[in-house]
Amino acid sequence: MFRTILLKCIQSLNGERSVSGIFHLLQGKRSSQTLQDAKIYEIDCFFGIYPELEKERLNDAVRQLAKENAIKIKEDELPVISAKGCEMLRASSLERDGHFFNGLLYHKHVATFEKRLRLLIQTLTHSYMNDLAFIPVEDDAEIQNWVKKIYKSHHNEGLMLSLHQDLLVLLHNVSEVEAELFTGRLTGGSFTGRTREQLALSQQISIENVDLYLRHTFYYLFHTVTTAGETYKGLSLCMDGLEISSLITESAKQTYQLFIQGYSLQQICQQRRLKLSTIQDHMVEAALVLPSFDIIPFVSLEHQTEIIHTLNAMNSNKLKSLYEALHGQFNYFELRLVLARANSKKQGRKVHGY
Amino acid sequence: MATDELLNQLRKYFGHAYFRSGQQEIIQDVMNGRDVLGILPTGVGKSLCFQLPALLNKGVTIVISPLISLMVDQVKQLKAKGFKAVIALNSFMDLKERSKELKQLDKYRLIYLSPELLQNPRVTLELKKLHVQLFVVDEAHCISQWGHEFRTDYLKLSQKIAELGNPPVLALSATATPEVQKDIKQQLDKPDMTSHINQMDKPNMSFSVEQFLYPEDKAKRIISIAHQKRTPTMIYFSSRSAAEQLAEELTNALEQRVAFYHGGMENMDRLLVQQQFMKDELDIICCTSAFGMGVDKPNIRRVIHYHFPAQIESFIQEIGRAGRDCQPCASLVLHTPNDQVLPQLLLEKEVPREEDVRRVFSWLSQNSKLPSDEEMLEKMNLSESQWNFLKFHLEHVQIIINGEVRQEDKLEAFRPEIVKRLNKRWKYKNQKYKQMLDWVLHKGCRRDRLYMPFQKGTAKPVVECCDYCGFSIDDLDIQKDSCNDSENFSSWKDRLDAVFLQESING
Repeated sequence: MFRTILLKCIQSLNGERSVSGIFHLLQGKRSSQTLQDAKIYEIDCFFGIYPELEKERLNDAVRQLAKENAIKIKEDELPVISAKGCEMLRASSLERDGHFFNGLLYHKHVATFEKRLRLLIQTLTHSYMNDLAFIPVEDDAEIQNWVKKIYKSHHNEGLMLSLHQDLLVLLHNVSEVEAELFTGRLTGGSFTGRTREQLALSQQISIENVDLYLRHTFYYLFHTVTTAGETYKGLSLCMDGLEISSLITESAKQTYQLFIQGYSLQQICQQRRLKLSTIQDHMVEAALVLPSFDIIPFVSLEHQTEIIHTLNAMNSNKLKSLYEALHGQFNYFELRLVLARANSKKQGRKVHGY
Repeated sequence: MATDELLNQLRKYFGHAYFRSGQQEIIQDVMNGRDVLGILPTGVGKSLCFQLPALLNKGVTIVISPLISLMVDQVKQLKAKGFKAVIALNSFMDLKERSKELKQLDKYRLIYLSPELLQNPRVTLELKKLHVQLFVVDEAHCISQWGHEFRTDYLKLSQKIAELGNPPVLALSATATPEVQKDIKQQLDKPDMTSHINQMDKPNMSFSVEQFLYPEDKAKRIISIAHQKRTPTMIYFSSRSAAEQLAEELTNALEQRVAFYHGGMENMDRLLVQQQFMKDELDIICCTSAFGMGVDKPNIRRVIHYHFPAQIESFIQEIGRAGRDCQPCASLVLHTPNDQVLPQLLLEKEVPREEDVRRVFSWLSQNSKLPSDEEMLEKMNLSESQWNFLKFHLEHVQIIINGEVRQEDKLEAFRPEIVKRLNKRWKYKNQKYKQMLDWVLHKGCRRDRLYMPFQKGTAKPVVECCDYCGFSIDDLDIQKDSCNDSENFSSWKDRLDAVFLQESING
């Protein structure tokens, strides 16, 4: 799965971004460059799905793909996919069956959901055995407080049984390997979860695949519970308070709110004591994720059409090429806004899931 | 407090019916407000000596501990036991959380602190507002230059104790020679401390050292030993990669459950390995010295050293994890002639060299303000303990005050002095290493020799003594198979059912 995701990213990035770009994407680096690339190249679903990734392991995997001629590293160190790589990608289950990763929107929520679920299972099953003297698998104080709260208000056999039931049903919908990894990693009853190394060894797969299969299963659970809500009573409890807010950074949210109150970008700069370029980044973020944000005050509808038209004729997503193709008629901020808006529309139409 | 009452509390809070040898005398003196120096062998439950008083006292108990992981482990275990008014303050806490906790310190009865943090003025200020009833110095050998893990921050403790109104002091260590014991009292400025020195040898442990020519022989030997009988076994390494490698080799060669553990692992995996080992879900653990602090597993039967540590004190601490249930257990050191290289390298990282001193002094003569410690390490290409050594001595003669270079004109004159001290430290470290190596190569009774620097004589062992006296680890008497074999599931559904206790509900 790790290799397939890399191939997918390399293919989408079209030889225009480096391996570091992929690293930042998977790690979930919150820079405007990474965020915008994610959207523009349509790989935002992979944003932040693998914060534990080590740079060295990524480099190893890229080298290996190059060795197998699935990709080529160009002279400027940028990777491009080969025909063989495209073939590998087409044959992969990720492309064939689709996937549930939805990182840009949910990576934070899924991380919380994952930790809560683990600790809740440990707590409920240990309390069922009258053993509350256990060492929690999650150190995070916020998660511990949440579980304490839930434990107090829902402390009965019902919750434990419904979690078991939910997982039993839903794990039938993921691959055998994913179900094995998921249950193997759980701590509860008299059993301690397995480490990533132990799981890798028993399934004969790489550590990266252990991590990503596990993560993917949590995305699947999260997705299912978001859409089918009340059917899964136990699991939906773990979504408590995880509101689906679309703006990514808190800072961008503040900027956007000032903007809709009628402040100009210059005024927002002064008020927030931020550079203009930062404020512009925020606006582009807003254009990416907020369908209600109208960019006409910045670029007229007519000009938007012209820019998109030129872009479609170009076969590249590089901002610089677009800027030059339009003979500098629009500044970079305007172009980024239009690109962001165009991509956000495309995303909106795409049907998600398997 | 009367003995009966103490025993009642022991049962109530810790679930033990009796004190282990040495604990009660220390606790009694502590409860009577005396200053106490307690030397208790590893595995006897040093921490109980202040945890029980902390529960019984009305005021606050402060514990200075040099190892963050040890503090955090102890806090977790206490919380699991239901003692919640406990906290570990350390420099790894994020600032926001630390400052929140500092404001509500009066919520806690037991406060663990790193020695560095105790020097922080804000922390001192908050601590002064509390009624400190007991001040504990854990791993007290760190206070002595002649201790095996000298920590410069420990030297400033006596001043802080005075600032906190001179509460009773309890200094604890598992490994302190008589020389170090004397030094502890002196440095803490408590010459009249009551000493409780317990014998360190374990009558239920046998010793052996086996010599090999090549490292590959060690792996073969370990496989053959493990193959004879499955039993909880620890194997110590001085490098992470060696631990990982052997774990893989053993997994392939044996029908046993093997894992590795070292400081470079992800947090949750570390915790899981530790828990698996505690619950007998693992047979063999390949680890570095990072493993074992606060791991109180009663039934470890073998401690094997694939690499031996750089000093006898660490060795005694590591083998002390075996046989806490008083059943027979054994230590085995595997040695090849090449083993000398690695500790030498590690030693070099610990003490600065003369050229390091020259580099740092030349930088100091051109700058007036020190950057953060991390930056300094990077800039000067020093290890943490190298820089700590230099900084401590420079602060001591007041060439550095509060992170600023004062009296830089004194630098040149001071250089020969610091080089002298550094050579002394080097020599000391080498002596320690040599002492360990001598033991490995010793041709005589290993038990007598091992404890010689610490105490007079040893108790008569209840098991075979050592290889010199005729023991081989093949003869280790292992009574019962204590391995929990339940982690064998035919499918994920079975494991899910087991985690959710479905058999016990249905059946």
